Amino acid sequence: MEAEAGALASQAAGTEDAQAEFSRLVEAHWRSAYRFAYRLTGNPEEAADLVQEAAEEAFRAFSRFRPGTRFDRWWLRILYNSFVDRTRRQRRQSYVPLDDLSGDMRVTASWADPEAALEQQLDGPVQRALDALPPEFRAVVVLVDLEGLSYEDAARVLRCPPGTVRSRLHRGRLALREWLRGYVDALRRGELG
Amino acid sequence: MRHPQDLLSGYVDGALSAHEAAEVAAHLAECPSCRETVSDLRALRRLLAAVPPPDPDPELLARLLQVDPGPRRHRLNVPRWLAVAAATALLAVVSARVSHLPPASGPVVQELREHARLATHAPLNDLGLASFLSAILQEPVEDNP
Repeated sequence: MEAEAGALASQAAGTEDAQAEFSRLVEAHWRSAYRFAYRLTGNPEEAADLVQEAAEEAFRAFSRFRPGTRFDRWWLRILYNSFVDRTRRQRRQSYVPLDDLSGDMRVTASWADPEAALEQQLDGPVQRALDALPPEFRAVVVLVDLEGLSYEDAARVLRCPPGTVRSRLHRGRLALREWLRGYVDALRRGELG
Repeated sequence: MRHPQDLLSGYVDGALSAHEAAEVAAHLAECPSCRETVSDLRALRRLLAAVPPPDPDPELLARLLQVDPGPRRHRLNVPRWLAVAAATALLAVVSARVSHLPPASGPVVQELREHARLATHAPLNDLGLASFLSAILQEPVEDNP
């Protein structure tokens, strides 16, 4: 009986340790999870929801997390999965295939105009351009160009080969280049940043 | 060399092997359109890197730290007498429905009758079944003559 009680107590202590460790990791990485979720969804409320869903999922799967590996990458991967499930469930957005997008179709005068750009925050226009990308292209661009992940790390988060990361990244960038042409040109002329 | 396509992004990111990078560089020396693309990609990268990070609501962290391991199973605390009463009521409803069933026909009746006969033949084995069946068949279950 006593041995059993002892085992139960140490098991409870183990659970508490795991909970404390989980909280510590969440606290260290919630901002990057939120940034990724925000850029994927383009909406603060949905982003917060997504982060929470991914945290619950991660907590349930926490026994499978290998200590010593990067928790943030693991969490982002779970988050991306939740996001993909959501977009499948919602299916309310219809995406325009990249090849069909000509720049003038989406770029409006206000955000292609470099002079306005100098005064305006970049966030809105860039987010609108990201929103226009199909989700799997958007995810790659966000991870590599906004979050600064390597191709290998991005591939791990997205569960695809690094070669796929490179080709999606390139196609995503080419589309963004057209949609954000005004900013790109202004930067090249040294008028921005 | 053909236009190196996504190798251009790899080139800009410094993510190519030395061999690939040398090939791209050689191509760029001869291809103004790819040079143009590379300059655009560099500018775009700077542009995206300059986007201010969104600021999460601090309240979100509080919610995250209370994360629950998913939907919990709720056990109902029902007094025993209530459970017994509910079970009895359910049974009453079910038997009422059964007695209102239209008479079954054909092979089903045949099958049920067979069961009923066997059951009445060996009442010690299946008394409950026999009475149940005679009730739903709504006709006397004959003993073997």
